[in-house]
Amino acid sequence: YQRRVHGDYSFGKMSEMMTFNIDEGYTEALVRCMKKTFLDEEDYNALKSATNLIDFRTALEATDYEEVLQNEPSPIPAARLQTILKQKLADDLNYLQSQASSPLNDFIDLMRHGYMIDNTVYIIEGIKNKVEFADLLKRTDPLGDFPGMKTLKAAENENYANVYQTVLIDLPVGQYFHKFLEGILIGAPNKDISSIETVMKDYTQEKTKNLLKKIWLTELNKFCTTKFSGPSREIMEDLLRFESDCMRIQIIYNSIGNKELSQSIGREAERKKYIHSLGDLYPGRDKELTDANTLDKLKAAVAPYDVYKRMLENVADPSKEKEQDFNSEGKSIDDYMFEEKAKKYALAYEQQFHCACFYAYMKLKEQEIRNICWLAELVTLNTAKNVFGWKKIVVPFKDIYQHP
Amino acid sequence: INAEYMGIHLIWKDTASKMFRSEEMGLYSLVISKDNAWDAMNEIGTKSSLHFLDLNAKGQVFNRPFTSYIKRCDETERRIKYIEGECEKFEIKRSRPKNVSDFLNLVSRLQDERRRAGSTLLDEYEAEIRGKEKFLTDQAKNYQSMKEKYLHLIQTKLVLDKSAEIESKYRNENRDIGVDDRAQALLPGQIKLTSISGVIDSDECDRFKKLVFRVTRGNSLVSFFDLNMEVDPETELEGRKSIYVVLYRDGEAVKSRIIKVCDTFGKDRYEIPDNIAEVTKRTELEAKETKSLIILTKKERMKVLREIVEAVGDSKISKIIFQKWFIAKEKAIYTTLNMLRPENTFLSGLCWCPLKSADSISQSLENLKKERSFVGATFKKIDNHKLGPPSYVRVNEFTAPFQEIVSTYGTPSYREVNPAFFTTVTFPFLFGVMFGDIMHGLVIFSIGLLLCFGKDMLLKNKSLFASLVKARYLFLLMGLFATFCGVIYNDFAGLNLNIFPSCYHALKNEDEHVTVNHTDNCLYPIGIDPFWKYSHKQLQFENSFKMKLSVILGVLQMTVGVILKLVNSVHFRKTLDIIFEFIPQMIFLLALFGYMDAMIIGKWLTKFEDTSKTPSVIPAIINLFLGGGKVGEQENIFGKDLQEQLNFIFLILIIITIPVMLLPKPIILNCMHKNQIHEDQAQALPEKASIESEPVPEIGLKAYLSLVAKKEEEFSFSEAFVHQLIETIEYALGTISNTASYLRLWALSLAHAELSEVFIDYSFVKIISMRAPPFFNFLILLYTYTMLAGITFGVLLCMDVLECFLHTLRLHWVEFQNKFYKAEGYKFNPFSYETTLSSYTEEQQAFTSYHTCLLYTSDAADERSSVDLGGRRIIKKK
Repeated sequence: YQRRVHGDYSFGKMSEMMTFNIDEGYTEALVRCMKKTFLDEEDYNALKSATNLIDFRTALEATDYEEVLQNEPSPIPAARLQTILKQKLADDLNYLQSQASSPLNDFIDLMRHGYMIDNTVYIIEGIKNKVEFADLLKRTDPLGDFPGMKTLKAAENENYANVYQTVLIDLPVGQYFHKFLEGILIGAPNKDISSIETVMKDYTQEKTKNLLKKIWLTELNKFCTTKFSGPSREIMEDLLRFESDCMRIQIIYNSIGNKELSQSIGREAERKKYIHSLGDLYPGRDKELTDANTLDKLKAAVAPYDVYKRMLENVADPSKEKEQDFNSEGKSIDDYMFEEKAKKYALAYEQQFHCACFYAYMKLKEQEIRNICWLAELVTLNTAKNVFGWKKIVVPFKDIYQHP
Repeated sequence: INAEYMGIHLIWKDTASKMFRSEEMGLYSLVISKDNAWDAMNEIGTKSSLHFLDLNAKGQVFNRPFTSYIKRCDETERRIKYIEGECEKFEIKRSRPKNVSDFLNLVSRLQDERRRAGSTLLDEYEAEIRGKEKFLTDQAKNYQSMKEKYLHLIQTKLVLDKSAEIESKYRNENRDIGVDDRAQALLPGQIKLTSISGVIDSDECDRFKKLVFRVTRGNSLVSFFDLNMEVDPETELEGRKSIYVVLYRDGEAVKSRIIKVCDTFGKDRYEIPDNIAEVTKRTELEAKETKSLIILTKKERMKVLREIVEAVGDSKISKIIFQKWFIAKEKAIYTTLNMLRPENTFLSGLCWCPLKSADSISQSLENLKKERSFVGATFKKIDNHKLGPPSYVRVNEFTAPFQEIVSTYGTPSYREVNPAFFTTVTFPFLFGVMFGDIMHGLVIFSIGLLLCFGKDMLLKNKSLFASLVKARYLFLLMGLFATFCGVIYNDFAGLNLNIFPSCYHALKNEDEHVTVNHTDNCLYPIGIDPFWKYSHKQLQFENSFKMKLSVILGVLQMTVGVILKLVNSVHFRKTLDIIFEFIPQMIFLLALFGYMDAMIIGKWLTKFEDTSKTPSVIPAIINLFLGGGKVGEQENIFGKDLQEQLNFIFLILIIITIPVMLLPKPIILNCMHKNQIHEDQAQALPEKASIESEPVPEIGLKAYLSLVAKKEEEFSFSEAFVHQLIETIEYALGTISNTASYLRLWALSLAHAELSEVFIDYSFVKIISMRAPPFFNFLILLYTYTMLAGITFGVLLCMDVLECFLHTLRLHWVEFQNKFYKAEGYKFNPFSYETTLSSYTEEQQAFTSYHTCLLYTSDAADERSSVDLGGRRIIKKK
């Protein structure tokens, strides 16, 4: 990785370095300044030593979040806290975006499409389950906020085809739905828009989201390879490859306990649908991964890659059911992935003149919010301070130089 | 003589000595019981002389004992801010206390009246403000909902108006009503059209149109109209909105779909009733009523706010402002209390206190003990600590700006000679040397006078110049010295003043040749003879004079700097520094540049008969090195023999001083260090035992020491040597380049003189010598005069003043202060109501907040390694 990112520069890259600041110098400077706002170990220690939510808030007010917490009545429950912090992140991103020009501007848009997909799928699902629309809007992720979100209300009492035709098509995420529906219609007997309703019955919220995300990631990758050049492209490609590898490993890992998916037919047909054709593991380890139906096989399949091997080294076997809770020892595969991802994103800050640090910034901040909310939960539950859960937070930039 | 001496002695003791060194500090431990902590701290706040050390720095913020009080103060402050915002909205004036002591008197009076513990006043005010804020927010909410209702009514009326308009026009088969031709094409025959209308944000028009189009599959028509609402000042309505009208073919399915879409975008949807006119009338009436209600509510709010700004007691201070100050004061008390360590029922703290004020503090604590009969407040001095005390230089209105100039470079180390003592005079003087001009100097002087006498008025009006008031004495002195130097240069905005009779007179011979004769035994009383103006050698003469003057002044100032190093070394008892730094440095400076100055003065005092054979100083100095001390024809100033002998002695001295500066100090330090280790080892065992048997030192001190614990610096010979090497090189080369640097005194003064001369030449002298007809001349002069005034103001009085100021700053920071000033101290920052609250007073609010920043003087580059921005030394001992 180091060699790939810090390799020698051809003239093209040099020219990008020379001209980058003309358009994005200020924006990049901003995002680099924002690196200062990340909570460090000491801040987290202060948060950890809090015994109730009021203390927790006091400790959090010593950080960059002070401003947004000021007008909140105390104590702030964890759920509300998450919304506030995410809203701040969204506002900061909006601010960055308002300074950016093309293609960075489009890139930030595209970055946030992932969250928009989450929100859209969530709202549609909620409407189907007759949840109050206002409540749904409140519970969306501020990162994936878009102006037309409330038009989704028109989806009430409509079938999927209609929803697509009237509402989704005009949303920023419409293109993904378009591709998604096209994709699922291929397998349908009747390739007509009217058959969507029947086909969609097979797709739960999770499945839809996963497929949409897959399409989105491919689009994002395409954007990075076509619109970016030089370091922006290199680093973004690298990050996306890593992310899609992680997604792939996670999907396979999660499917291991599932009987239907770990049988060979399920593996070939069903599981593969959700898996990207992107990343370091494709196509080199594709066959091995497709065959993997136990944790050991999965481990063997990713063994050539140090990072992934490390990730899977200590995880619990999903086929042996074990509940994760606040008190459980050991980390889940998610925790390992967050850790490795945080390292990767932090590395993106190492180089100058590129757009990937905006992506890294967003992801790292998201991780930070996840940390804070996790700690807030622990504080709320009055968890004993010696429980392993307190250690389950990822502090970025801490051990960037210990990376092998 | 004795009386005179006594006078000087008094001045020194009263004022000057306070400035010469920072005040002597002692470390004190303060132990107070928790119950009386507030009272004690309240007393200490009025004294402004304890600088507390934070003993809880390691712990979490929320674990400190008084954090909850601070939170409460914050909360109340937020509420007060809200109330003040409301007052601002209704333009209700509030009056502040005149100064901090006024306020404190009022507080103590109120506390005495109440006959209860002073700390409970906070609870009272907190509750009161909470109530007021709640009332106001409720009112505001009420007001807002009423406003919304009003808005809704107005919108309804406008939408109804529009619909009526469209309907009537449609009935008359009029096509151009904003509904385009497609409407007609869409509606064959007699299909009944229905409409839905409402109000949405203008930004959402496109999205709305699209969605309706999709929902109705194109079988509808949407038109938008800007909502032209006059913004009513009484009700403060705003926002850009549009009215939409959807025309569609009647049908329940379509209708419900469209309604769903409309509701998605906003709640303002209106069904069009049949009897539009009637409904409109009714709405109008209702709107009127709501409006009067709104006005009524507003009056109610005003009334409450007026109550809030009523005066407290018999003073003229508004209640809300009084409470704001009070809360700030409480917060300061609790913040300071938070620095103390709780021990059982006591709080123990560490603080620095000027030795002079210690008595008054312990006295007032004693009094408090008697009055309030509380136990255990002790205030004791701690000796044998290894902490570095803060530097506290008392300033007054006169010395403050000069101290600021010095402190911007760095706070003086504890008890080090404070350069500001000298800067008070040298700063304006060197400025004057550069800016020397009678007229311009007088302008600056009069600005200084204006600031001095108009101080109160300027502060009251918060005028633009209020920020200059602090520096008024600086201006005054700068103007004074500029005028003085102007007199010496005989320069009045580019003209020479002919006040006294000149010592020269010109004689015109028959062949039009002019000869100049000097009157015998004539001496021009002060400054340069104005007759020089007519000489073509004027510039040469003045340059030579000013150049030499600059070097003399520079060497003088640097010599003072080196002497101050001696003063510092004596004070801190650093014998090594005296012998191996001060003495060689002094010799180096005097043997080289002191000698040069002597030559300059010697040359001035000698009358040379043959002007073509006058010796010059520069080759003489160069030959001191290159010629091995031989004195040539053009270098003979003091007489050949004497000068050769002097040259020889000085050359030897200069060469010797360099190794003296470089070698002995690190070697001796190294030996001392080795001896130290030796002794330590020899005494290791008994000493250890003695430590254990020693009684436990003050608890607070121990705690603090554990907080700031640092590793003792290891002595390393190589480091000491390299440091000394750099110091030596810096000093030797620095002396030369610093002397050269003082030439800026000449350069800037030359620039000033030349500029003003050029300006006046081209605006007046040239015009007058044109001998144009008087009226024409008058017009041109009117024009050029304005130009001259503008240019003089812009270039000479703004830019040049700034430039001279900057260069003076640089000469002080770099050339003068690098000889002795360490600037490694930190400021004494006592807990004081005066400083806490002064930011709220009128005077302070008149000053725009001004930041100090280091200035980059472009030619700092010629100081090589020793200087970065603003002449701060990079190489300091770590």
